[in-house]
Amino acid sequence: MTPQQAILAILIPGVVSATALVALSFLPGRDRPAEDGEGASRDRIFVRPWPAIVAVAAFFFADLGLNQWHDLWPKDATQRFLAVGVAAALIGALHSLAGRVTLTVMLRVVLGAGLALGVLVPLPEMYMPRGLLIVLTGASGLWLGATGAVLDGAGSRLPRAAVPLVLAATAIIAAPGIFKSGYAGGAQLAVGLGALAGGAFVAAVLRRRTLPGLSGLHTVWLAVFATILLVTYGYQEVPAWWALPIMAVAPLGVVAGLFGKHRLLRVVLAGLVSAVIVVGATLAVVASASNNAAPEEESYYGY
Amino acid sequence: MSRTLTHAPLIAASAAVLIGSVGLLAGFAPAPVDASTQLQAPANAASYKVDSVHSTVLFRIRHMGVANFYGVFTDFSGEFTFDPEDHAAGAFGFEVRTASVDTRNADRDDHLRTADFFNSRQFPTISFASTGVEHVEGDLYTLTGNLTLQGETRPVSAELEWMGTGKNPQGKAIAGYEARFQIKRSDFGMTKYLAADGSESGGLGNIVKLIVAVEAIRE
Repeated sequence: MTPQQAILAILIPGVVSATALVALSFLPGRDRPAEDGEGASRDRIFVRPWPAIVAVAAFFFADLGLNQWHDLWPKDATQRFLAVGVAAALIGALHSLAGRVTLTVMLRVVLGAGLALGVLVPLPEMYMPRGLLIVLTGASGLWLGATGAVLDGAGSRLPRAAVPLVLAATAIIAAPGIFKSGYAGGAQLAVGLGALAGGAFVAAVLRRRTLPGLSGLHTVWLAVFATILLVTYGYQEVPAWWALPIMAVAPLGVVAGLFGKHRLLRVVLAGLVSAVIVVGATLAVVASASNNAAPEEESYYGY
Repeated sequence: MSRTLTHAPLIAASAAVLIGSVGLLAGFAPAPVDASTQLQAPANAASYKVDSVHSTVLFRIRHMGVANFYGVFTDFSGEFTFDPEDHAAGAFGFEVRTASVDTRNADRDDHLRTADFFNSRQFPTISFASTGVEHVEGDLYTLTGNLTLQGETRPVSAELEWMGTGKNPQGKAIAGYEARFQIKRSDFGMTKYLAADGSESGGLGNIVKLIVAVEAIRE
């Protein structure tokens, strides 16, 4: 990644996310807890769609930095992250505006299934048998619905900065695993996604005021993250495929493990989180070692 | 009951349509322009089939802005019909298997097959089909045609050097040519490690030289 790309793909998404969310928090209106589990205020309904739009705007720069300017729906199915982000932002804005938990879950399930189809259908059957396609489509929908519900719920009960921190950490920890799966572009996008969530974390730390509509930001993050994992699984010769489902449950694990009510569950999931961190760190070391090998060593090829 | 709940089915339906459209687009996206290598043979020209054992597909790209890096594709096929006396009727076509990329490093070759570069699972081939041949001088011609890479078909031109005809040790008629293409990979959506300004200064340059050196056996 060149310095220019790092600025576009990491720095700008973080800055856009942080500044826009801070600015939104200054909009007038009374704060009052809502009944939808989002901590949203009924008095600031016009604010609710914006976190989703801020998220996709921030991600746009990450995609621009790493994949250049391209069609919204390119023929290359591994370059459809921005399309997924835009669809997720529209859906995130819609369900944030509606503010109903059941509708939010339903829309996310549809989004998760749709993005899986958009990414995996172009694969020839020898790489993606139709049975597996159906399973992955369903799993993607269910994952997005369930994980989103957990994150929204955690967002209303935990300190405001907790969920953005979980999202940032998950994306950044996942990056070396994706890199080790032979998908450097996906790893870089994951870091950009981490920067986006990092910006939301900074905004939450800087401003004490609860911002309505953060569930929309969760939707965008989850949709793009799911797409990265699906592309990694579907289009690469994945040596570390087993790391992908671990990455997928990482946000759930972090939230439930660190903040869950049941002690046993906390212990189990905290262990899972530890495993994710160990796996991520190990893969990072392996990836780093292979990337820093001397030219005469077998593992060397640099880039 | 709240107003938002009243609108919920409408919102859900809109979103379902949106996402359904995304899925449908994926499944029924228009196919790339056909750049088939099946050629229409002119009446008097000889037709030849590529002998891949004695042919080479070589590519060159700038690395880190300071060096030219070379690699080959080991699996390709093609055919052509050509008669220097009737060059305008000539037709050339070839198809390269992207998974056969060979840069003398297995890890790098694996990486080149991934979504970062050739995305070999979705786009298993690079293909070319000529649309015209113009004589320049001597044995040099300008070859024009459509190149399909990453599912994108673009018109390109190449410098074609006709190497001549002869017979191989088995007594079969053979002929050869070398076509030298120069393309911008960004035109085909390959933008990984490209400088932001699309120049040669990135991790990998934008300009790719593709040399197709063919020996072929008369059919």
